[in-house]
Amino acid sequence: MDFSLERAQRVRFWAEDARVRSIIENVADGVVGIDAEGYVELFNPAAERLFGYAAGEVMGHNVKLLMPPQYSEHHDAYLERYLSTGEARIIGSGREVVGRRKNGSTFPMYLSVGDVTVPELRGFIGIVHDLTEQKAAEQKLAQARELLQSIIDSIPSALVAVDGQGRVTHWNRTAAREGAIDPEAAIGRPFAELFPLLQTHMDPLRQAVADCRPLKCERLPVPTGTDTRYVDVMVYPLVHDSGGSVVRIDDVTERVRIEEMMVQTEKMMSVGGLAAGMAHEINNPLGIVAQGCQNLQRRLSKDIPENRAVADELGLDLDVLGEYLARRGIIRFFAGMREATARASRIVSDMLAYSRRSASSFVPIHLNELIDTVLRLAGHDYDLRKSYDFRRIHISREMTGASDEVYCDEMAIEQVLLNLMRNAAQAMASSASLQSPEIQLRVADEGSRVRVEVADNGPGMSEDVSRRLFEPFFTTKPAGVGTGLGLSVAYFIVTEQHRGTIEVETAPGRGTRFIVRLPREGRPYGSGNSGGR
Amino acid sequence: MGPAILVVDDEPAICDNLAAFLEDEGMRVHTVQSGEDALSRIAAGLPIQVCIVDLRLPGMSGTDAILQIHRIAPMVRFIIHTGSAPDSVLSKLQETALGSTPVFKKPVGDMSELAQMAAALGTES
Repeated sequence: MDFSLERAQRVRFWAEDARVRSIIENVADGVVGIDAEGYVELFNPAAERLFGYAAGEVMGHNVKLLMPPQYSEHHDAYLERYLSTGEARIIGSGREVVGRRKNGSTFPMYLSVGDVTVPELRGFIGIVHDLTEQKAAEQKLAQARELLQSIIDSIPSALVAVDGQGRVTHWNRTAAREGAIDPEAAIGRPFAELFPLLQTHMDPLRQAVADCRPLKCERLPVPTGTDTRYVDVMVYPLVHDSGGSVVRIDDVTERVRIEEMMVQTEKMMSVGGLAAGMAHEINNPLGIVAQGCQNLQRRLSKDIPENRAVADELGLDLDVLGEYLARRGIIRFFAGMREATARASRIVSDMLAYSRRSASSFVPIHLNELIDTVLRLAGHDYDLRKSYDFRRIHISREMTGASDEVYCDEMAIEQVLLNLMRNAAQAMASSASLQSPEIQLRVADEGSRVRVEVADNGPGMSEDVSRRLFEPFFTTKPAGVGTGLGLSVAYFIVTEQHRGTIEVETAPGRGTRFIVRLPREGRPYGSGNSGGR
Repeated sequence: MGPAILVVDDEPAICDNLAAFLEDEGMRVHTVQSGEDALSRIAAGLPIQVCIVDLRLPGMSGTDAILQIHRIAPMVRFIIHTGSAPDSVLSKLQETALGSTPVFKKPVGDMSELAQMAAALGTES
């Protein structure tokens, strides 16, 4: 160590004035003075406490002693550059750095450095402020904040805090995922911009936030691209903050769907219970009317010899009678009665489907072959021909995946698909502007299930209609055209009998797509193993 | 002359309707309102070829009537004419030689089909 006289004089400079020395020795922050090359010339008691060195152990040593390697290795170059170019990073100001104690441990500190240029020397003076406690407090705060954020992030609801004007101040992860814009960018923006899909429900929300009043809106429909989701939206005024609120949004779509399904199943069960008993009771009188009608028509006809014999005996001219019946429209009444009884009988047999649970009828079926049959049936369907020429509809087919085979009740699934196609045809017939009616039939192998889609490019349905679609006796068709049972029977056959699913995707002007999924190993309820392989 | 038919149905109007139609087709038609009556008429020697039977009858069921008539008059052919055809009833018949008995569901939309079936079965027996 080169303790030259010159340096000793300079060290005296730092301590020459008793008043200055008293200040330096009594300030709470560490004060360290160095010369232009970095050798320590001043080390006050506070610095001794901070670094664990006695002043004598440091004096004359390079100040790098007080730094961990990542700082010390650049220090010489830094000083040199500053002295030759004047380029400062810390000198003249200060910043957070890390200090190294005698025992090798490190601590955070705020270091401000001043350039000292007097006739006796060129050097630097550094003030060291210990940041250990502050850092610990900051860390604690950060941990607490992190914990709080983690708590609200782990809640599956979307949570968004807003100020009194409804501007976003905070959000959780679910909100970030569900929100329409990056929540980072939403800070300070009106809440509505974060959830534009809730636009139509925004007024009461805004009002509640403005009034600092709690609000609960349940089952709000939110139209998304393909279907409608449902959300519960709640507003809670913040407890400790004046004027702010938390908005909580829960996606309750699944719950709503299950509730709807339960209501529907209940309705169907009641219909199913009635159907079996009613069928016989109704079909008998229907038989009397329908078959009586046929007898009436025959016995009024001049083509049957017995009619002629009796008429002759009574002096009745059957040709004149025939003319009378025609002119008075009586023949037409008979036709009407026959058609009406046929329709009533179809309603009854539709209802009978509810009580049908015959396990024995489950057989392995290739759905594409079944669709062939259904298309043939649709081509000959009497009702369909009346309202629409099925052959005018362009049918496209598609098969994805390897297998289209499922265990099912062939007749029942036939009934389901025929019903879907009939609905599609009738829907397209009702749209006068539709130029090229089309039905897309898609079969897809989904592993344990097979999906069948029946999609049309007809007028589609409003949400009011599609929501009630599978309800028994709900119909949009003109009186006499639909029984209101077709789709509810289809629903029953697919979900109850086959344990599959049936859903609809539709919107006004966008066509309608029915999606049926049948389990490959389908077997009816209560049938044990008899339906399976 | 066409075959002789026995209609078994507890609804007189249904009996009348079937009788009228089949008679117009040149068949001889008898009607009874129960399985028991049908059985005793045939046991007493009523000469019929075809028996048209409702399944839901008061007293003896249509299925039992068919099985018992078949036992005493094996040449008689049957047509089931019913408002409901529970699978269990049909499977009971399927265990016997009568498994292929034709079924017409009420209301029959075109009775001439039923008449043709009766005529065909009548010439068979």
